[in-house]
Amino acid sequence: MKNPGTYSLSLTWLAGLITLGSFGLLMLLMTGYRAPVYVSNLPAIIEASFYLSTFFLVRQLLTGLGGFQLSESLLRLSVLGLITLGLLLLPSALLHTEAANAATSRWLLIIKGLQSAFLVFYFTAGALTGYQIISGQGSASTRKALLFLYSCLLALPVLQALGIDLPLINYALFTTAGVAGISLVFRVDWLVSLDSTLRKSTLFYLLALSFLSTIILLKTFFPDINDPLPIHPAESNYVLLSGFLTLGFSLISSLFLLFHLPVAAILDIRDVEKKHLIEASLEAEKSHDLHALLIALAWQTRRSSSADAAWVTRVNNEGPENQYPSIEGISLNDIKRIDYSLHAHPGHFQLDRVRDFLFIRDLEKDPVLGNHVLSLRSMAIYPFSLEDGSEWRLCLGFEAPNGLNEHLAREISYFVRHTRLSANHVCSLQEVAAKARLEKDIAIGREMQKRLLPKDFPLSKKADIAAAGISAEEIGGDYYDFHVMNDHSIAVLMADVSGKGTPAALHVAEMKGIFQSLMLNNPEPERFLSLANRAVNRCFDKGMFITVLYTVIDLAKMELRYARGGHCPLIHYNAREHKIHTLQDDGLGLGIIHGESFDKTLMSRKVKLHAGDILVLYTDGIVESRKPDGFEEFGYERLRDCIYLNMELDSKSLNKKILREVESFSKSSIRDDMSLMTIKIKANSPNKNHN
Amino acid sequence: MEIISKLSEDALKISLIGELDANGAINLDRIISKAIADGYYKIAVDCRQLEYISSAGLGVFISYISELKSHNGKFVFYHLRENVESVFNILGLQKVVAITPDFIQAKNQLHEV
Repeated sequence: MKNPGTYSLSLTWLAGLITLGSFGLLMLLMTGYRAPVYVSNLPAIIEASFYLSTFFLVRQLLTGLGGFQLSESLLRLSVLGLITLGLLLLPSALLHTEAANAATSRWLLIIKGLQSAFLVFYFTAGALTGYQIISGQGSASTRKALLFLYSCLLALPVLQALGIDLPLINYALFTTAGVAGISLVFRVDWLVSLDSTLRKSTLFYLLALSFLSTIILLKTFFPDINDPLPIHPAESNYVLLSGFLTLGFSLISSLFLLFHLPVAAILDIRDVEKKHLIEASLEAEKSHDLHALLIALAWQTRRSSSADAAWVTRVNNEGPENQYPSIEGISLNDIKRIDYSLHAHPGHFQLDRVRDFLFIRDLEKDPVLGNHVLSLRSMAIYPFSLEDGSEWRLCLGFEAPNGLNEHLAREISYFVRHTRLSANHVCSLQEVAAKARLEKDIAIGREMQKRLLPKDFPLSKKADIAAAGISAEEIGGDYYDFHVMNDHSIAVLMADVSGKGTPAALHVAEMKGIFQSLMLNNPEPERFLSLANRAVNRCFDKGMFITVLYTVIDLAKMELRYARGGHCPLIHYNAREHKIHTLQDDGLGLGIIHGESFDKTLMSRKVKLHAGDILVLYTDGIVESRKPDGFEEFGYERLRDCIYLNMELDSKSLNKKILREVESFSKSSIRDDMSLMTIKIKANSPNKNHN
Repeated sequence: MEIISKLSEDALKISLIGELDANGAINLDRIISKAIADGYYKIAVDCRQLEYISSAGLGVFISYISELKSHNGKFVFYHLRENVESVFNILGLQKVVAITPDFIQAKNQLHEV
């Protein structure tokens, strides 16, 4: 609602002042009684404010503004009005009796005091109610106009009582009020918004209002000489107009309300239906089971629409073999026949754009479905699809030829939409659960992958070997392994499967078996790559490849033999020359080309080793690490510098140092798996194992 | 991102822009497989704006090498940036696909059988 408080407070004061002013003037007039007193102006004011308040209230209801209670305000006003009216009648009646004496005059004073108090209450309440209503009106100009009209109508009888008569203004004002009133009289759509209790109280007040106005009109038309409260001839126009308008308004409204009552009963039933659907929606939200949700969908919609049959179909676009998670009130055979027809005539039932459902009346006359002998004579179809791409439809069947009204059909369509949201929610929850399971699997996989890495580094007396790795995802596509060929030679393998994550990790697991069985035969690097390529070609999908660096470190001959299968080149620090070499020879990744043409690309190399030499094997994740905000790569230069500057460290520390360097460069934005292996050749000890 | 333009009856140019990672690879695979289905077996790949290529991206090209070859077609990569060329060289791809410095040479290469 538009906040009345935001509306200028000065208008409240204005309304209050006018009310109090008119009250004070009236009191002034009344204290100087001259019998017979025409007090018709007071009931007229009460009547006028009462009827205007009611109009404004109606207006407010029409514009859909809440904020205060219609019946509460009406009750307050009518009780105050009736008491005030009674108190006005009492002294006048007493004054007309012959036995007016000192005792009665004392009572008169008390009654007059009470009367004044109630008048203050009444007019303040009336003015405030009116103000609340007015400030709830649409535009500021409407509000101002209504307030002005209201104030003028309140002030007019006061002016008249003072003897100031402005007939032109008087008529103009009442004509305006009359036109406004009549235009409002027939706008009764506000009645629809009343609930059952409010309907009854409103009807009661409207009838009371018509009774009051009828009495006043009767008094005007048939003046009685003995009437202690006669209507002054000068005010009869005023009273007539307000009386007729009030009577017209209250009578017409109560008549409409009366006629509306049977419709209202239907609306109440709809309210109950709606409530069922809302309850069902809330239930659906709680559900974590898609199947339960779909069963509830059929059950609830059948209950709310009083359908004879309801079923949910999972539509199989490939053929008529659908799934039916929920069937009520119809045989599976009948449904299958219907679905077969729907599938065979895909264009027969087209949804229009506005409605997301389809209602088929007179099923037996339908050219497609009419061929089936069914107990159903009308049917509603609500198709919907879920985020996982599955297509569904809810069908409601009725034995009546026109079993579903438009209104309820729409309500159900909202419910279907709501269920769809819940179902999507359920699906995503299930996905999350599946993901959690997968993550657990991955954790196990990661654990297994860790076990792939050799724990005991062989020949530790002759070479200091350390390996370390970081995976971009939970499990990586990098792989390294050792194989002790004999007491002086060790084969070291570093490999990187294309891609990352789970598919790469699965291939790693596959390759581990292959590589290990190949290594058992102690092959020389060239032979190893040739055999491995054949294996990879057989095992890998098209487009998957693996880069391998296979080295044999012979600590007896102090020589390194290696072959590079498309892998990042080996970095060799030559302690004697005090130089770093990048051993980038020709070589092609495994799995790219087949058999002999691959073998032709192979090249095995030999490099002399010395005590203190360092060999660094790594994957492209190291050199291709990038700054998070740029394209600059860590690169070979930085790697070589890092090795050169930290060559005094042992293998493990050197690995750590390099990884830390890479991490600080890339600000820990890991994009690819990183693996690193450092081998430091120790001083050639003259003791055992040397032949 | 890729921009595709037709060069001749059986030749196509694909310009790669930005990074070709695992996600981009799926799209690229779709493009190349459609190109081959449409009868384009000679594919020039403009790498002028290719900033990074992942192994999955390379895998897409690798997976079609033999198919193109069987139709007398090929990939010709040109205008490679230093880092991308280094990736190609380390993997040894220069042995199986043609790499040329510019478009004119790429076009010539494309029509050599």
